[in-house]
Amino acid sequence: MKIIVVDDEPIIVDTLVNILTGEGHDALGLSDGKSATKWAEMMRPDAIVTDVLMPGMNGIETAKAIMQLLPKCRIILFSGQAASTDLLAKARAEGYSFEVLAKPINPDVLLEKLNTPENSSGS
Amino acid sequence: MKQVFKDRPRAPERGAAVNPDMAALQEAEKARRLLAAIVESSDDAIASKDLNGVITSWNKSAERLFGYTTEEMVGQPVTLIIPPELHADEPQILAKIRAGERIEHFETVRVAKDGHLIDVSLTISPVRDEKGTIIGAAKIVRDITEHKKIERALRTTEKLAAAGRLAATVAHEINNPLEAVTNLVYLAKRDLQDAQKVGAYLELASRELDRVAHIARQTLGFYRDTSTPVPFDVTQTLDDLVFLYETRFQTRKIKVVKQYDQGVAVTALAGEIRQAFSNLITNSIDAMSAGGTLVIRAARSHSWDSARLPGVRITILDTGSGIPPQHKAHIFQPFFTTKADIGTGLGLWITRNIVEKHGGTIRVRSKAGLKEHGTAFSIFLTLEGRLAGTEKDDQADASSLRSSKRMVVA
Repeated sequence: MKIIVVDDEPIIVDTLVNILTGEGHDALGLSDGKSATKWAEMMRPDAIVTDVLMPGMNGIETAKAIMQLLPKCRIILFSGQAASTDLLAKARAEGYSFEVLAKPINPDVLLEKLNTPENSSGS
Repeated sequence: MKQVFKDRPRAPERGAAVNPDMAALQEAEKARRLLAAIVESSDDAIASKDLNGVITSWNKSAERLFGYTTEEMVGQPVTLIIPPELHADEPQILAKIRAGERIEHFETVRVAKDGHLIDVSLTISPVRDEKGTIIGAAKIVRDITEHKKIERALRTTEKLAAAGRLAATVAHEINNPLEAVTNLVYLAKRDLQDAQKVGAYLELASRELDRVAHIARQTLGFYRDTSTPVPFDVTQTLDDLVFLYETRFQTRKIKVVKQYDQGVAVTALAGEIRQAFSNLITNSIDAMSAGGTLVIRAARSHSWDSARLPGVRITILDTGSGIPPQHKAHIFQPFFTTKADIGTGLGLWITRNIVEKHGGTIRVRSKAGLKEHGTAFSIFLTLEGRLAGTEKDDQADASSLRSSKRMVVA
């Protein structure tokens, strides 16, 4: 599976890419939403795992942009802060519904999510 | 002069004016009765005492406020309504009166007949006889219990709001390193055979755990309410705050410049001073959404008003959007905010309260132009942080704090 990982904390990106690669995925790590959108267009990933609160383009804006480019791309947001619920509520009002996982996420749970088709994920 | 306002003055003589002296006397008597009536019907408690601190008059409102009747009070020492731990204030008050000084809006505590404590604001003026000799003092006592209650409620509200904001920051600062550690532990388990890799993962994990531990130490100590002033290192406190808001500086591309004198320390309520600094720093962060520079200065200095009063000046300067001139007069008022979504409008009000409670001063300079913009808040703290202590809930504690400073300035 081709996956893009986006987070402004390098250690989180590096470890997630390492974990996903170890499971046989083709993972690319990026530190901001803008480059993620650019790379998504070229790489056409199956899934994107992105942080919500990032400088510049936040995770939700990134997710919306990628959704428009690649309707089939699986989008998983993760966040360490409650403030992201405001951003999510705003997105929901605009008709977007995203699943957001709370940091810290157990990597097994993330891998399981990626291996389960979206409509049966239940959350 | 033992005069009781309640006692009705002798009715003035009616009839044809006898001589000019008599007429003047009658005028004076009329004026005296009018004054007595005003005093008697005042909503504020008004009393007078002689230079020995013995009560000489006591109006209706004083009866209502303290529960003592005029008959009970006149002739009694004023210390009857002063809590025992504040008795030492009285000679100081009398000394000021003897010196012809007026004491204005002195906030303190008095005790009613039934023993309950009343937060009051006192205005005490010397009373002179016709020759100008000071013979006693007139005292206006305003009950500020309600006012104090509201003030305390506001402070609690702000504390809760600040705790909420802090919780959001802490969640972010702690969950990110935890995410990293979770991943690193997963990787260490996966690569168990490769000792070198495992070593590297554990090294990184240990560094992330240090981060979590540091943040937890900082923030859990944040609101610890110390009721006694302690000597603490101002620059260390500022450094801790810079560390706490590190990610916010990074994500908003804010450059932090520290200009510290060596060993800047004050004696104060460390947690509160820290909150005051924190409020100013977070305001600066909010004002620099498009990046900028935050200068944090801590220097040994002296008071703006008195060059002889040594202390510490802390300046938090940003290149943010600045305060528009029309807002300048309101920024220290409670509930004034331009950040409707995230602000409570209490941050600067609290900050000023904390600073002034410590006998310090806060000043602001700001420019909100297109080209030139930015804000600088300066706090001056005296080395010994004399406490005005008007906010502790514990009355006894509050009054002892009060007596320590208020008398110095009253």
